[in-house]
Amino acid sequence: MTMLLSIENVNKAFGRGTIHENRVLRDFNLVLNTGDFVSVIGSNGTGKTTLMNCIAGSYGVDTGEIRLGDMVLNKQPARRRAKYIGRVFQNPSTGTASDLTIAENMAIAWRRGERSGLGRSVDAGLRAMFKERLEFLGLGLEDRLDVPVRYLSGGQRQALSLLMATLRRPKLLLLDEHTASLDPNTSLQVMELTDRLVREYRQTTLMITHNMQNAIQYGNRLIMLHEGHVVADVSGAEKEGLTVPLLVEMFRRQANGDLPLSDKVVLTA
Amino acid sequence: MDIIFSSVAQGLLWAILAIGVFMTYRVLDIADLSAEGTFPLGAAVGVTLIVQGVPPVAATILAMVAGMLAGLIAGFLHTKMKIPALLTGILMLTGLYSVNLRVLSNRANLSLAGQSTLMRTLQAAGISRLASTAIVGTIAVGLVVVVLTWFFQTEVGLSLRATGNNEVMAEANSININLMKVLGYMLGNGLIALAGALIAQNNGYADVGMGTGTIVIGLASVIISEVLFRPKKIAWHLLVITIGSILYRLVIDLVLTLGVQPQDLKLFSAIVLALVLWLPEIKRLQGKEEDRSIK
Repeated sequence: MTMLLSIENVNKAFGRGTIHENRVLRDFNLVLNTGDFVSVIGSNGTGKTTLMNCIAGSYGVDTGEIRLGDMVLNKQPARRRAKYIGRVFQNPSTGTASDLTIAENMAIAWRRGERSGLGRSVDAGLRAMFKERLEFLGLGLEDRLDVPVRYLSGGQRQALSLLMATLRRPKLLLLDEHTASLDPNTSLQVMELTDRLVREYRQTTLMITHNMQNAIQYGNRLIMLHEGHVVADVSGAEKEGLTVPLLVEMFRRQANGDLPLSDKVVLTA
Repeated sequence: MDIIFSSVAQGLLWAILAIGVFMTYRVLDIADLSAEGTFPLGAAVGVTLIVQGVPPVAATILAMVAGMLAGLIAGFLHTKMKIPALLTGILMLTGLYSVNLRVLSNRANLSLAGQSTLMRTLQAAGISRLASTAIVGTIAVGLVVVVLTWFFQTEVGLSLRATGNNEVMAEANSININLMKVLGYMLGNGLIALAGALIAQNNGYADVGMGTGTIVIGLASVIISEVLFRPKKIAWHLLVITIGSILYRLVIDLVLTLGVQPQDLKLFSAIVLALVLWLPEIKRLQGKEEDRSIK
Protein backbone atom coordinates (compact mmCIF):
# COMPACT_ATOMS: atom_id res chain seq x y z
CA MET A 1 0.00 0.00 0.00
CA THR A 2 1.32 3.41 -0.86
CA MET A 3 0.50 6.54 1.00
CA LEU A 4 -1.52 8.99 -1.11
CA LEU A 5 -2.75 11.77 1.14
CA SER A 6 -1.03 12.82 4.32
CA ILE A 7 -2.28 15.53 6.61
CA GLU A 8 0.21 16.43 9.32
CA ASN A 9 -0.46 18.56 12.37
CA VAL A 10 -2.93 20.75 10.56
CA ASN A 11 -4.56 23.56 12.49
CA LYS A 12 -7.37 25.66 11.13
CA ALA A 13 -9.22 28.28 13.12
CA PHE A 14 -11.83 30.83 12.10
CA GLY A 15 -11.99 34.32 13.55
CA ARG A 16 -8.46 34.05 14.94
CA GLY A 17 -7.58 36.65 17.55
CA THR A 18 -11.23 37.49 18.28
CA ILE A 19 -13.45 36.35 21.10
CA HIS A 20 -15.27 34.25 18.52
CA GLU A 21 -12.15 32.29 17.67
CA ASN A 22 -13.18 28.81 16.65
CA ARG A 23 -10.43 26.22 16.40
CA VAL A 24 -11.99 23.76 14.00
CA LEU A 25 -9.06 21.47 13.15
CA ARG A 26 -6.63 20.92 16.04
CA ASP A 27 -3.29 19.24 15.36
CA PHE A 28 -5.12 17.16 12.85
CA ASN A 29 -3.42 14.06 11.41
CA LEU A 30 -4.69 11.66 8.78
CA VAL A 31 -3.11 9.37 6.21
CA LEU A 32 -4.96 7.85 3.26
CA ASN A 33 -3.48 5.02 1.22
CA THR A 34 -4.03 4.60 -2.50
CA GLY A 35 -7.30 2.78 -3.04
CA ASP A 36 -8.77 3.65 0.36
CA PHE A 37 -12.50 4.40 0.47
CA VAL A 38 -12.88 6.19 3.79
CA SER A 39 -16.15 7.33 5.38
CA VAL A 40 -15.97 10.26 7.75
CA ILE A 41 -18.62 10.77 10.41
CA GLY A 42 -18.97 13.19 13.28
CA SER A 43 -21.43 15.73 14.61
CA ASN A 44 -22.06 19.13 13.08
CA GLY A 45 -19.31 21.67 13.58
CA THR A 46 -16.69 19.07 14.24
CA GLY A 47 -14.56 19.98 11.24
CA LYS A 48 -15.62 17.53 8.52
CA THR A 49 -16.38 20.08 5.84
CA THR A 50 -13.48 22.28 6.96
CA LEU A 51 -11.23 19.25 6.44
CA MET A 52 -12.55 18.86 2.89
CA ASN A 53 -12.12 22.55 2.16
CA CYS A 54 -8.55 22.50 3.44
CA ILE A 55 -7.70 19.48 1.27
CA ALA A 56 -9.38 20.98 -1.82
CA GLY A 57 -7.82 24.39 -1.21
CA SER A 58 -10.96 26.43 -0.60
CA TYR A 59 -9.23 27.56 2.60
CA GLY A 60 -5.57 27.70 3.46
CA VAL A 61 -4.47 26.03 6.69
CA ASP A 62 -2.97 27.96 9.61
CA THR A 63 -0.19 25.48 10.31
CA GLY A 64 0.74 21.98 9.23
CA GLU A 65 1.20 20.29 5.92
CA ILE A 66 -1.07 18.60 3.42
CA ARG A 67 0.65 16.34 0.90
CA LEU A 68 -0.71 14.42 -2.03
CA GLY A 69 1.83 11.82 -3.15
CA ASP A 70 5.08 13.76 -3.08
CA MET A 71 3.44 17.14 -3.71
CA VAL A 72 2.90 19.67 -0.95
CA LEU A 73 -0.56 21.12 -1.56
CA ASN A 74 -0.46 23.98 0.96
CA LYS A 75 0.57 26.72 -1.45
CA GLN A 76 -1.43 25.56 -4.45
CA PRO A 77 -4.69 27.39 -5.17
CA ALA A 78 -7.89 25.34 -5.40
CA ARG A 79 -7.94 25.41 -9.18
CA ARG A 80 -4.48 23.81 -9.38
CA ARG A 81 -5.40 21.15 -6.87
CA ALA A 82 -8.51 20.43 -8.93
CA LYS A 83 -6.26 18.69 -11.42
CA TYR A 84 -5.70 15.93 -8.87
CA ILE A 85 -8.78 16.21 -6.69
CA GLY A 86 -12.36 15.62 -7.79
CA ARG A 87 -15.15 16.93 -5.64
CA VAL A 88 -18.89 16.39 -5.18
CA PHE A 89 -20.78 18.81 -2.96
CA GLN A 90 -23.80 18.38 -0.73
CA ASN A 91 -25.99 20.70 -2.79
CA PRO A 92 -26.70 19.16 -6.22
CA SER A 93 -26.67 22.68 -7.71
CA THR A 94 -23.06 23.27 -6.67
CA GLY A 95 -21.31 20.60 -8.71
CA THR A 96 -22.79 21.45 -12.10
CA ALA A 97 -23.45 24.65 -14.07
CA SER A 98 -27.22 24.77 -14.46
CA ASP A 99 -27.43 26.91 -17.60
CA LEU A 100 -24.97 24.72 -19.48
CA THR A 101 -25.98 21.47 -21.12
CA ILE A 102 -24.95 18.03 -19.90
CA ALA A 103 -22.39 17.81 -22.71
CA GLU A 104 -21.00 21.25 -21.89
CA ASN A 105 -20.71 20.43 -18.20
CA MET A 106 -18.87 17.24 -19.04
CA ALA A 107 -16.61 19.07 -21.47
CA ILE A 108 -15.57 21.39 -18.64
CA ALA A 109 -14.85 18.41 -16.39
CA TRP A 110 -12.94 16.81 -19.26
CA ARG A 111 -10.66 19.86 -19.63
CA ARG A 112 -9.86 19.87 -15.94
CA GLY A 113 -6.22 20.57 -15.28
CA GLU A 114 -5.49 21.38 -18.93
CA ARG A 115 -4.99 24.67 -20.68
CA SER A 116 -8.05 25.98 -22.47
CA GLY A 117 -7.64 27.34 -25.95
CA LEU A 118 -9.85 28.38 -28.81
CA GLY A 119 -10.54 24.83 -29.91
CA ARG A 120 -14.09 23.57 -30.07
CA SER A 121 -15.19 22.62 -26.57
CA VAL A 122 -17.52 19.76 -27.56
CA ASP A 123 -16.82 17.74 -30.69
CA ALA A 124 -18.26 14.50 -32.06
CA GLY A 125 -15.52 12.39 -30.47
CA LEU A 126 -16.14 13.83 -27.02
CA ARG A 127 -19.90 13.47 -27.40
CA ALA A 128 -19.52 9.77 -28.16
CA MET A 129 -17.28 9.35 -25.12
CA PHE A 130 -19.67 11.33 -22.89
CA LYS A 131 -22.59 9.20 -24.07
CA GLU A 132 -20.71 6.06 -23.19
CA ARG A 133 -19.85 7.34 -19.70
CA LEU A 134 -23.42 8.50 -19.11
CA GLU A 135 -24.72 5.03 -20.00
CA PHE A 136 -22.80 3.79 -16.96
CA LEU A 137 -25.22 5.79 -14.79
CA GLY A 138 -28.23 3.97 -16.20
CA LEU A 139 -30.38 7.09 -15.92
CA GLY A 140 -31.03 7.71 -19.61
CA LEU A 141 -28.95 10.89 -19.53
CA GLU A 142 -27.00 9.69 -22.57
CA ASP A 143 -29.98 10.70 -24.71
CA ARG A 144 -30.16 14.19 -23.18
CA LEU A 145 -26.69 15.52 -23.92
CA ASP A 146 -28.01 18.90 -25.08
CA VAL A 147 -30.42 19.49 -22.21
CA PRO A 148 -29.43 22.26 -19.77
CA VAL A 149 -28.60 20.70 -16.41
CA ARG A 150 -31.19 22.84 -14.67
CA TYR A 151 -33.88 20.50 -16.02
CA LEU A 152 -32.36 17.51 -14.20
CA SER A 153 -33.57 16.23 -10.83
CA GLY A 154 -31.34 16.51 -7.76
CA GLY A 155 -30.40 12.84 -7.98
CA GLN A 156 -29.56 13.09 -11.67
CA ARG A 157 -27.44 16.17 -11.02
CA GLN A 158 -25.55 14.41 -8.23
CA ALA A 159 -24.98 11.37 -10.45
CA LEU A 160 -23.67 13.68 -13.17
CA SER A 161 -21.49 15.50 -10.64
CA LEU A 162 -19.99 12.17 -9.59
CA LEU A 163 -19.29 11.24 -13.17
CA MET A 164 -17.72 14.65 -13.82
CA ALA A 165 -15.60 14.51 -10.67
CA THR A 166 -14.17 11.14 -11.72
CA LEU A 167 -14.01 11.74 -15.47
CA ARG A 168 -10.28 12.46 -15.40
CA ARG A 169 -9.57 9.77 -12.80
CA PRO A 170 -8.36 12.17 -10.09
CA LYS A 171 -5.90 10.91 -7.51
CA LEU A 172 -8.41 11.71 -4.79
CA LEU A 173 -12.21 12.01 -4.75
CA LEU A 174 -13.86 14.13 -2.05
CA LEU A 175 -17.55 13.53 -1.35
CA ASP A 176 -19.05 16.09 1.00
CA GLU A 177 -22.35 14.59 2.19
CA HIS A 178 -23.23 14.19 -1.43
CA THR A 179 -26.44 12.25 -0.75
CA ALA A 180 -27.66 14.29 2.23
CA SER A 181 -30.04 16.54 0.33
CA LEU A 182 -31.65 13.73 -1.67
CA ASP A 183 -34.76 11.73 -0.76
CA PRO A 184 -34.01 8.30 0.81
CA ASN A 185 -34.61 6.35 -2.38
CA THR A 186 -32.51 8.62 -4.59
CA SER A 187 -29.89 8.81 -1.90
CA LEU A 188 -29.60 5.01 -2.00
CA GLN A 189 -29.28 5.03 -5.79
CA VAL A 190 -26.54 7.68 -5.75
CA MET A 191 -24.72 5.75 -2.98
CA GLU A 192 -24.86 2.53 -5.01
CA LEU A 193 -23.57 4.42 -8.02
CA THR A 194 -20.76 5.90 -5.94
CA ASP A 195 -19.76 2.44 -4.79
CA ARG A 196 -19.74 1.13 -8.39
CA LEU A 197 -17.65 4.05 -9.62
CA VAL A 198 -15.16 3.81 -6.77
CA ARG A 199 -14.76 0.06 -7.32
CA GLU A 200 -14.46 0.28 -11.08
CA TYR A 201 -11.84 3.04 -10.95
CA ARG A 202 -10.23 1.81 -7.69
CA GLN A 203 -10.74 5.43 -6.76
CA THR A 204 -9.18 6.70 -3.54
CA THR A 205 -12.13 8.42 -1.85
CA LEU A 206 -12.86 10.43 1.26
CA MET A 207 -16.59 10.57 1.95
CA ILE A 208 -18.31 12.63 4.62
CA THR A 209 -21.67 11.24 5.57
CA HIS A 210 -24.32 11.76 8.20
CA ASN A 211 -25.74 8.35 7.50
CA MET A 212 -24.15 5.80 9.84
CA GLN A 213 -25.53 2.86 7.91
CA ASN A 214 -23.79 4.16 4.77
CA ALA A 215 -20.60 4.77 6.70
CA ILE A 216 -20.62 1.15 7.87
CA GLN A 217 -21.79 -0.40 4.63
CA TYR A 218 -19.49 1.37 2.17
CA GLY A 219 -15.76 1.73 2.03
CA ASN A 220 -12.90 -0.12 3.69
CA ARG A 221 -12.30 2.33 6.51
CA LEU A 222 -14.32 4.55 8.80
CA ILE A 223 -13.09 7.51 10.79
CA MET A 224 -14.88 9.57 13.35
CA LEU A 225 -14.12 13.23 14.02
CA HIS A 226 -14.77 15.00 17.27
CA GLU A 227 -13.65 18.50 18.20
CA GLY A 228 -11.17 18.68 15.38
CA HIS A 229 -9.50 15.32 15.98
CA VAL A 230 -9.83 11.81 14.65
CA VAL A 231 -11.24 9.95 17.67
CA ALA A 232 -11.79 6.59 15.99
CA ASP A 233 -10.29 4.90 12.97
CA VAL A 234 -11.72 1.51 12.09
CA SER A 235 -10.87 -0.72 9.15
CA GLY A 236 -10.59 -4.34 8.01
CA ALA A 237 -12.33 -7.04 10.02
CA GLU A 238 -13.22 -4.63 12.80
CA LYS A 239 -15.16 -2.50 10.35
CA GLU A 240 -16.85 -5.58 8.86
CA GLY A 241 -18.29 -6.38 12.27
CA LEU A 242 -19.63 -2.88 12.94
CA THR A 243 -23.30 -2.25 13.54
CA VAL A 244 -25.02 1.04 14.17
CA PRO A 245 -25.55 0.38 17.92
CA LEU A 246 -21.90 -0.71 18.25
CA LEU A 247 -20.79 2.43 16.52
CA VAL A 248 -22.90 4.65 18.75
CA GLU A 249 -21.55 2.90 21.84
CA MET A 250 -17.98 3.18 20.59
CA PHE A 251 -18.26 6.87 19.95
CA ARG A 252 -19.91 7.47 23.29
CA ARG A 253 -16.81 5.95 24.89
CA GLN A 254 -14.38 7.83 22.65
CA ALA A 255 -15.92 11.13 23.53
CA ASN A 256 -16.06 10.40 27.27
CA GLY A 257 -19.79 9.93 27.48
CA ASP A 258 -20.49 13.02 25.48
CA LEU A 259 -22.39 11.61 22.52
CA PRO A 260 -20.59 13.30 19.67
CA LEU A 261 -23.34 12.71 17.16
CA SER A 262 -26.15 14.98 16.22
CA ASP A 263 -29.72 13.79 16.61
CA LYS A 264 -29.90 13.75 12.87
CA VAL A 265 -27.23 11.06 12.68
CA VAL A 266 -28.95 8.83 15.18
CA LEU A 267 -32.30 9.26 13.48
CA THR A 268 -30.97 8.41 10.06
CA ALA A 269 -29.11 5.40 11.39
CA MET B 1 -42.59 54.76 -42.01
CA ASP B 2 -39.36 56.70 -42.08
CA ILE B 3 -39.40 56.84 -38.30
CA ILE B 4 -39.74 53.08 -38.08
CA PHE B 5 -36.89 52.53 -40.51
CA SER B 6 -34.80 55.04 -38.58
CA SER B 7 -35.53 53.23 -35.30
CA VAL B 8 -34.55 49.89 -36.84
CA ALA B 9 -31.31 51.30 -38.27
CA GLN B 10 -30.34 52.94 -34.98
CA GLY B 11 -31.47 49.91 -33.00
CA LEU B 12 -28.92 47.83 -34.89
CA LEU B 13 -26.10 50.10 -33.70
CA TRP B 14 -27.43 50.13 -30.14
CA ALA B 15 -27.69 46.32 -30.22
CA ILE B 16 -23.91 46.15 -29.95
CA LEU B 17 -24.11 48.08 -26.68
CA ALA B 18 -26.80 45.67 -25.48
CA ILE B 19 -24.66 42.65 -26.37
CA GLY B 20 -21.77 44.22 -24.46
CA VAL B 21 -24.00 44.69 -21.41
CA PHE B 22 -25.21 41.10 -21.86
CA MET B 23 -21.60 39.87 -21.62
CA THR B 24 -21.19 41.12 -18.07
CA TYR B 25 -24.78 41.17 -16.84
CA ARG B 26 -25.87 37.74 -18.05
CA VAL B 27 -22.80 35.75 -19.03
CA LEU B 28 -20.67 36.80 -16.05
CA ASP B 29 -23.62 37.61 -13.77
CA ILE B 30 -22.03 40.95 -12.84
CA ALA B 31 -23.89 44.27 -12.99
CA ASP B 32 -21.16 46.44 -14.51
CA LEU B 33 -21.80 50.17 -14.62
CA SER B 34 -18.51 50.82 -16.45
CA ALA B 35 -20.65 51.03 -19.60
CA GLU B 36 -21.50 54.63 -18.69
CA GLY B 37 -17.82 55.49 -19.07
CA THR B 38 -16.69 53.10 -21.80
CA PHE B 39 -19.49 54.05 -24.21
CA PRO B 40 -18.36 57.72 -24.42
CA LEU B 41 -14.74 56.47 -24.30
CA GLY B 42 -15.32 54.56 -27.53
CA ALA B 43 -17.01 57.61 -29.02
CA ALA B 44 -14.22 59.97 -27.94
CA VAL B 45 -11.40 57.73 -29.14
CA GLY B 46 -13.11 56.97 -32.45
CA VAL B 47 -14.00 60.58 -33.24
CA THR B 48 -10.65 61.99 -32.14
CA LEU B 49 -8.75 59.50 -34.29
CA ILE B 50 -10.93 60.24 -37.31
CA VAL B 51 -10.40 63.97 -36.84
CA GLN B 52 -6.65 63.26 -36.73
CA GLY B 53 -6.90 61.53 -40.08
CA VAL B 54 -7.11 57.87 -39.11
CA PRO B 55 -9.39 55.91 -41.50
CA PRO B 56 -12.84 55.27 -39.96
CA VAL B 57 -12.47 51.46 -39.91
CA ALA B 58 -9.15 51.62 -38.04
CA ALA B 59 -10.46 54.35 -35.70
CA THR B 60 -13.49 52.19 -34.89
CA ILE B 61 -11.34 49.15 -34.12
CA LEU B 62 -8.98 51.21 -31.94
CA ALA B 63 -11.99 52.59 -30.07
CA MET B 64 -12.97 49.01 -29.29
CA VAL B 65 -9.43 48.28 -28.09
CA ALA B 66 -9.64 51.31 -25.78
CA GLY B 67 -12.84 49.86 -24.32
CA MET B 68 -11.13 46.52 -23.79
CA LEU B 69 -8.31 48.25 -21.90
CA ALA B 70 -10.89 49.95 -19.70
CA GLY B 71 -12.43 46.51 -19.17
CA LEU B 72 -9.02 45.17 -18.19
CA ILE B 73 -8.75 47.83 -15.50
CA ALA B 74 -12.30 47.16 -14.29
CA GLY B 75 -11.48 43.45 -14.15
CA PHE B 76 -8.33 44.18 -12.15
CA LEU B 77 -10.25 46.33 -9.67
CA HIS B 78 -12.87 43.65 -9.20
CA THR B 79 -10.80 40.45 -9.17
CA LYS B 80 -7.44 41.52 -7.75
CA MET B 81 -8.38 44.44 -5.52
CA LYS B 82 -11.64 42.63 -4.60
CA ILE B 83 -13.75 45.75 -5.05
CA PRO B 84 -17.45 44.84 -5.32
CA ALA B 85 -18.77 44.90 -8.89
CA LEU B 86 -21.12 47.83 -8.33
CA LEU B 87 -18.37 50.01 -6.84
CA THR B 88 -15.96 48.94 -9.56
CA GLY B 89 -18.43 50.29 -12.11
CA ILE B 90 -18.87 53.55 -10.23
CA LEU B 91 -15.09 54.03 -9.97
CA MET B 92 -14.71 53.29 -13.67
CA LEU B 93 -17.40 55.67 -14.89
CA THR B 94 -16.16 58.42 -12.58
CA GLY B 95 -12.52 58.04 -13.61
CA LEU B 96 -13.34 57.64 -17.28
CA TYR B 97 -15.19 60.97 -17.29
CA SER B 98 -11.83 62.75 -16.89
CA VAL B 99 -10.14 60.39 -19.32
CA ASN B 100 -12.80 61.09 -21.92
CA LEU B 101 -12.40 64.86 -21.49
CA ARG B 102 -8.65 64.38 -22.01
CA VAL B 103 -9.20 62.29 -25.11
CA LEU B 104 -11.45 65.07 -26.45
CA SER B 105 -8.61 67.55 -25.74
CA ASN B 106 -10.43 69.09 -22.76
CA ARG B 107 -13.56 69.79 -24.75
CA ALA B 108 -17.06 68.57 -23.89
CA ASN B 109 -17.68 67.50 -27.45
CA LEU B 110 -16.01 67.07 -30.79
CA SER B 111 -17.71 67.30 -34.17
CA LEU B 112 -17.09 65.11 -37.19
CA ALA B 113 -18.25 67.86 -39.57
CA GLY B 114 -16.44 67.51 -42.86
CA GLN B 115 -14.77 64.25 -41.78
CA SER B 116 -15.10 60.81 -43.25
CA THR B 117 -17.10 58.23 -41.25
CA LEU B 118 -18.16 54.65 -41.92
CA MET B 119 -21.63 55.88 -42.84
CA ARG B 120 -20.44 58.74 -45.04
CA THR B 121 -18.13 56.37 -46.93
CA LEU B 122 -21.25 54.46 -47.97
CA GLN B 123 -23.21 57.65 -48.65
CA ALA B 124 -20.46 58.72 -51.04
CA ALA B 125 -21.42 55.66 -53.08
CA GLY B 126 -24.94 57.03 -53.42
CA ILE B 127 -26.61 55.22 -50.52
CA SER B 128 -29.13 57.17 -48.42
CA ARG B 129 -28.21 58.30 -44.93
CA LEU B 130 -30.65 55.93 -43.22
CA ALA B 131 -29.61 52.99 -45.40
CA SER B 132 -25.94 53.64 -44.61
CA THR B 133 -26.74 53.45 -40.87
CA ALA B 134 -28.65 50.22 -41.42
CA ILE B 135 -25.87 48.68 -43.50
CA VAL B 136 -23.11 49.56 -41.01
CA GLY B 137 -25.31 48.33 -38.16
CA THR B 138 -26.13 45.05 -39.89
CA ILE B 139 -22.52 44.31 -40.74
CA ALA B 140 -21.29 45.20 -37.24
CA VAL B 141 -24.00 43.25 -35.41
CA GLY B 142 -23.59 40.35 -37.81
CA LEU B 143 -19.86 40.18 -37.16
CA VAL B 144 -20.31 40.44 -33.40
CA VAL B 145 -22.98 37.74 -33.30
CA VAL B 146 -21.00 35.35 -35.52
CA VAL B 147 -17.73 35.84 -33.64
CA LEU B 148 -19.35 35.56 -30.20
CA THR B 149 -21.35 32.48 -31.20
CA TRP B 150 -18.11 30.85 -32.28
CA PHE B 151 -16.31 32.07 -29.17
CA PHE B 152 -18.88 30.72 -26.74
CA GLN B 153 -18.38 27.26 -28.20
CA THR B 154 -14.62 27.28 -27.72
CA GLU B 155 -12.98 25.91 -24.59
CA VAL B 156 -12.29 29.40 -23.27
CA GLY B 157 -15.80 30.57 -24.13
CA LEU B 158 -17.30 27.64 -22.27
CA SER B 159 -15.05 28.32 -19.26
CA LEU B 160 -16.25 31.94 -19.27
CA ARG B 161 -19.90 30.86 -19.28
CA ALA B 162 -19.28 28.31 -16.52
CA THR B 163 -17.58 30.99 -14.39
CA GLY B 164 -20.60 33.28 -14.66
CA ASN B 165 -23.02 30.44 -14.09
CA ASN B 166 -21.39 28.65 -11.15
CA GLU B 167 -18.09 29.90 -9.75
CA VAL B 168 -17.65 27.05 -7.29
CA MET B 169 -18.12 24.48 -10.03
CA ALA B 170 -15.78 26.38 -12.34
CA GLU B 171 -13.03 26.52 -9.74
CA ALA B 172 -13.52 22.85 -8.81
CA ASN B 173 -12.83 22.15 -12.48
CA SER B 174 -9.58 24.12 -12.42
CA ILE B 175 -10.91 27.13 -14.32
CA ASN B 176 -9.09 30.36 -13.49
CA ILE B 177 -12.21 32.29 -12.55
CA ASN B 178 -10.44 35.63 -12.08
CA LEU B 179 -8.92 35.42 -15.53
CA MET B 180 -12.31 34.57 -17.01
CA LYS B 181 -13.93 37.53 -15.26
CA VAL B 182 -11.26 39.89 -16.57
CA LEU B 183 -11.80 38.47 -20.06
CA GLY B 184 -15.55 38.99 -19.74
CA TYR B 185 -15.05 42.57 -18.57
CA MET B 186 -12.75 43.19 -21.55
CA LEU B 187 -15.11 41.70 -24.13
CA GLY B 188 -18.14 43.48 -22.69
CA ASN B 189 -16.52 46.89 -22.46
CA GLY B 190 -14.82 46.46 -25.84
CA LEU B 191 -18.23 45.94 -27.43
CA ILE B 192 -19.73 48.88 -25.53
CA ALA B 193 -16.91 51.16 -26.73
CA LEU B 194 -17.41 49.84 -30.27
CA ALA B 195 -21.08 50.83 -30.01
CA GLY B 196 -20.00 54.26 -28.76
CA ALA B 197 -17.69 54.75 -31.76
CA LEU B 198 -20.38 53.68 -34.24
CA ILE B 199 -23.13 55.80 -32.69
CA ALA B 200 -20.84 58.86 -32.51
CA GLN B 201 -20.06 58.46 -36.22
CA ASN B 202 -23.74 58.13 -36.98
CA ASN B 203 -24.58 61.22 -34.91
CA GLY B 204 -21.65 63.16 -36.33
CA TYR B 205 -20.06 64.02 -32.97
CA ALA B 206 -18.78 62.65 -29.66
CA ASP B 207 -20.04 64.16 -26.41
CA VAL B 208 -18.57 63.58 -22.97
CA GLY B 209 -22.08 63.31 -21.53
CA MET B 210 -23.36 60.74 -23.99
CA GLY B 211 -22.74 57.87 -21.57
CA THR B 212 -25.50 58.84 -19.14
CA GLY B 213 -28.18 56.19 -19.27
CA THR B 214 -26.37 53.71 -21.50
CA ILE B 215 -26.62 50.95 -18.89
CA VAL B 216 -30.38 51.49 -18.79
CA ILE B 217 -30.64 51.22 -22.57
CA GLY B 218 -28.50 48.08 -22.63
CA LEU B 219 -30.34 46.36 -19.80
CA ALA B 220 -33.76 47.26 -21.19
CA SER B 221 -32.84 45.71 -24.56
CA VAL B 222 -31.55 42.53 -22.91
CA ILE B 223 -34.58 42.10 -20.64
CA ILE B 224 -37.11 42.91 -23.39
CA SER B 225 -35.55 40.21 -25.55
CA GLU B 226 -35.64 37.69 -22.69
CA VAL B 227 -39.23 38.42 -21.73
CA LEU B 228 -40.47 38.23 -25.32
CA PHE B 229 -38.42 35.34 -26.67
CA ARG B 230 -37.15 33.36 -23.68
CA PRO B 231 -33.98 32.41 -25.56
CA LYS B 232 -32.27 29.18 -24.48
CA LYS B 233 -29.37 28.84 -26.89
CA ILE B 234 -26.76 31.53 -26.63
CA ALA B 235 -26.57 32.28 -30.40
CA TRP B 236 -30.30 32.81 -30.45
CA HIS B 237 -29.97 34.95 -27.34
CA LEU B 238 -27.55 37.29 -29.14
CA LEU B 239 -29.90 37.59 -32.10
CA VAL B 240 -32.98 38.38 -30.04
CA ILE B 241 -31.08 41.02 -28.08
CA THR B 242 -30.75 42.79 -31.42
CA ILE B 243 -34.52 42.61 -31.81
CA GLY B 244 -34.95 43.80 -28.22
CA SER B 245 -32.70 46.74 -28.92
CA ILE B 246 -34.68 47.69 -32.04
CA LEU B 247 -37.97 47.41 -30.13
CA TYR B 248 -36.62 49.63 -27.36
CA ARG B 249 -35.54 52.24 -29.94
CA LEU B 250 -39.03 52.06 -31.51
CA VAL B 251 -40.67 52.70 -28.13
CA ILE B 252 -38.38 55.67 -27.44
CA ASP B 253 -38.88 57.18 -30.90
CA LEU B 254 -42.62 56.59 -30.63
CA VAL B 255 -42.96 58.46 -27.36
CA LEU B 256 -40.89 61.31 -28.76
CA THR B 257 -43.30 61.65 -31.67
CA LEU B 258 -46.19 61.44 -29.18
CA GLY B 259 -44.91 64.61 -27.54
CA VAL B 260 -42.64 63.54 -24.67
CA GLN B 261 -40.04 66.28 -24.36
CA PRO B 262 -36.41 65.26 -24.97
CA GLN B 263 -35.39 66.47 -21.49
CA ASP B 264 -37.88 63.99 -19.99
CA LEU B 265 -36.52 61.10 -22.02
CA LYS B 266 -34.10 59.76 -19.41
CA LEU B 267 -36.85 59.67 -16.79
CA PHE B 268 -39.05 57.93 -19.29
CA SER B 269 -36.38 55.35 -20.16
CA ALA B 270 -35.79 54.68 -16.47
CA ILE B 271 -39.52 54.09 -16.01
CA VAL B 272 -39.57 51.79 -19.05
CA LEU B 273 -36.68 49.75 -17.63
CA ALA B 274 -38.30 49.56 -14.18
CA LEU B 275 -41.46 48.20 -15.80
CA VAL B 276 -39.54 45.77 -17.97
CA LEU B 277 -37.57 44.53 -14.96
CA TRP B 278 -40.86 44.04 -13.15
CA LEU B 279 -42.30 41.80 -15.89
CA PRO B 280 -40.62 38.52 -14.84
CA GLU B 281 -41.88 39.08 -11.29
CA ILE B 282 -45.42 39.70 -12.52
CA LYS B 283 -45.27 36.52 -14.57
CA ARG B 284 -43.92 34.63 -11.60
CA LEU B 285 -46.71 35.90 -9.37
CA GLN B 286 -49.15 34.64 -11.97
CA GLY B 287 -47.36 31.31 -11.75
CA LYS B 288 -46.50 31.31 -15.40
CA GLU B 289 -42.77 31.24 -15.27
CA GLU B 290 -40.05 29.55 -13.26
CA ASP B 291 -38.17 31.91 -10.99
CA ARG B 292 -35.40 33.61 -12.83
CA SER B 293 -34.71 36.48 -10.53
CA ILE B 294 -32.92 39.59 -11.63
CA LYS B 295 -29.67 39.96 -9.76
